[in-house]
Amino acid sequence: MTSVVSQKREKLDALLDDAEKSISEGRVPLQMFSNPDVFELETEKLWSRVWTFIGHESEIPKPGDYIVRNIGPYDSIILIRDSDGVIRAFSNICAHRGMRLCRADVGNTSHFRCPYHGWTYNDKGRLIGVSYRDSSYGDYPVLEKYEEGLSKVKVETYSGMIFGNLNPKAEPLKEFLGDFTWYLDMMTKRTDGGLEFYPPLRHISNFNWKIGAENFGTDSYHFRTTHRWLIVVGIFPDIDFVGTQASTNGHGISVITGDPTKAPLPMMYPIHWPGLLPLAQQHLKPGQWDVFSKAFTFHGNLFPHLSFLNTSQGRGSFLTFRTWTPIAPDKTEFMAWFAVEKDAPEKFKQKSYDDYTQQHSLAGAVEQDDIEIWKYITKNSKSIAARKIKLNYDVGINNRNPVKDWPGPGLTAGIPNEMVAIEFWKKLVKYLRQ
Amino acid sequence: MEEAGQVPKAVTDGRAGTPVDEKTYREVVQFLYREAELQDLKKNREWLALWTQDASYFMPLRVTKEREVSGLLERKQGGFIVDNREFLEDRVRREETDFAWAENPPSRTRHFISNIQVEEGGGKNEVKVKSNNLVYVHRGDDTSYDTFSYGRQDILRKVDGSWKIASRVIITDQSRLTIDRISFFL
Repeated sequence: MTSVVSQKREKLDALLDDAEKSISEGRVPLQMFSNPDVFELETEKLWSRVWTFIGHESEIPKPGDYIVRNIGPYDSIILIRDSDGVIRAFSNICAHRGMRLCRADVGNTSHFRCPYHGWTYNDKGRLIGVSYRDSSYGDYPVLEKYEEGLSKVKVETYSGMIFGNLNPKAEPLKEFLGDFTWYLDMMTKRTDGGLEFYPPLRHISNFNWKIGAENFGTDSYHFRTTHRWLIVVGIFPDIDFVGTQASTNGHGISVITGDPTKAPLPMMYPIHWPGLLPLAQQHLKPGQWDVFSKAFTFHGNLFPHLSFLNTSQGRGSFLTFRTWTPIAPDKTEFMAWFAVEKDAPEKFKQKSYDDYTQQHSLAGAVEQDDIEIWKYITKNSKSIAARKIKLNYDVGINNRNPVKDWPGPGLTAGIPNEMVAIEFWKKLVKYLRQ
Repeated sequence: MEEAGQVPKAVTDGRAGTPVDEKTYREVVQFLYREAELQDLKKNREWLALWTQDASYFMPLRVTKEREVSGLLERKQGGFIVDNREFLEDRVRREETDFAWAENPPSRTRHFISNIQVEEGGGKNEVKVKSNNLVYVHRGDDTSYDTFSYGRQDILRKVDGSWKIASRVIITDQSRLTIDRISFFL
């Protein structure tokens, strides 16, 4: 007789076999978005050991500054800059009886005290005190026994961006990012000061996290349908997007340049902050400068769920990063940061923020239409029909030869394309399989 | 004078202002009820006409902090909504196209307003209005509805004999918003 466990294993294997085969043919089974078994498997196999973006150094500038963030659906993480300036991360769980230690989003502290029995930890996560020690523990050396204190979360930074990993044996962050740093640098290292991240907007909405990740990673194709109102009212020209997609290791970027033979697209910074251009030219490598200076938009997704958009879409120029943290198969916390060069003029920062917010966020005149679509894809992915429907990723199928003379790393293809999304899915299934 | 588009101190310090006379109070309440009706009927052009040319429509971010009820962030730290008059007009124009997918088919909304306090203040010909608000939203064949609770601090200005909204600050009661999206006016 087959056990329940092995039956489930067989079901999952069949699901993954089907997904793997479909993806190799440029198709994705619709049920992959909200199948509860996939969600469970992602928790076990992906979020438990993948590097995820959890914050930016500029969010915790001073010793004692902390923020509370999530990794995957269930893990609350305290991210703190300790009194020595070192960034540390811990599970937000008292080592004594499992109470959540910190229930605020943000603050500054020298210690965390558990409200249950008063176990107290310092800014390095070390247990430094327990209540009523003599009457409760006598001469038993409780502090020494629990010296380790809070459960540590591996944390590393790249270019000011803080990543956490629940697997203590995870590969170094640099290895995980790989060649993709070439593209990250184009957005994060344009000036001496680098970026500052503003406090994030947080929103829980009814869609699966992967839809956001693949939309930002690959999808310039939807723009002129989903966001057509921008064209109808004359905010945006009605022209083809062209350019290059690049994918390395499941991370993907789309660099849109516009068709030079037609009406020009608004370039990223010349109008709103021309002062950035000489700085960027000085800080970027010649190949990066070449890509940046000709681009109208960068959008992409750092696997698994850090999406970004740097654009002049709308009326100004802005840069945003966002994560799609799963809460349930059909529920996601969407956390969105506005980012800007620290050395930018104050006037530009304000204008850039306002333009970004007007278009994006849950009230944004652009993003609210995306959310509508993502919600209904998610609903549909729960249907019985979804078990046999395979989604089509053939956009740009004839345009997947390596782009000639492209200075950056990775697999490249012409825009519009859905190559980056296919690479994202390959990487995801690889995690789920291992 | 409170600066338009900033989080007014009164929102967080609970300071009582000087109430306006009864006639003004009645006018303002009537104005707010009429505005809510226009919102629910989606008469966006008529609704837009209720705003001044220098309008500011702002919803600050709100975070959970220890021993601090407000948690409201300053204007310069961002917001959920940071509209000026120009962008309010864009939102109205957007819904006049065939491509405002989030509102086509339209949401059914019902705006409720209570706890209305009208105080002297702001600038010349202006009053400050505080209110508690709840909007009920249902869309399509959804199996559930959204409710969204928020406070408002408005500055109304009398322009050519009619009240207009010069500034509105929306105070959300959530830090992580659970409403599907905000595709209607608050």
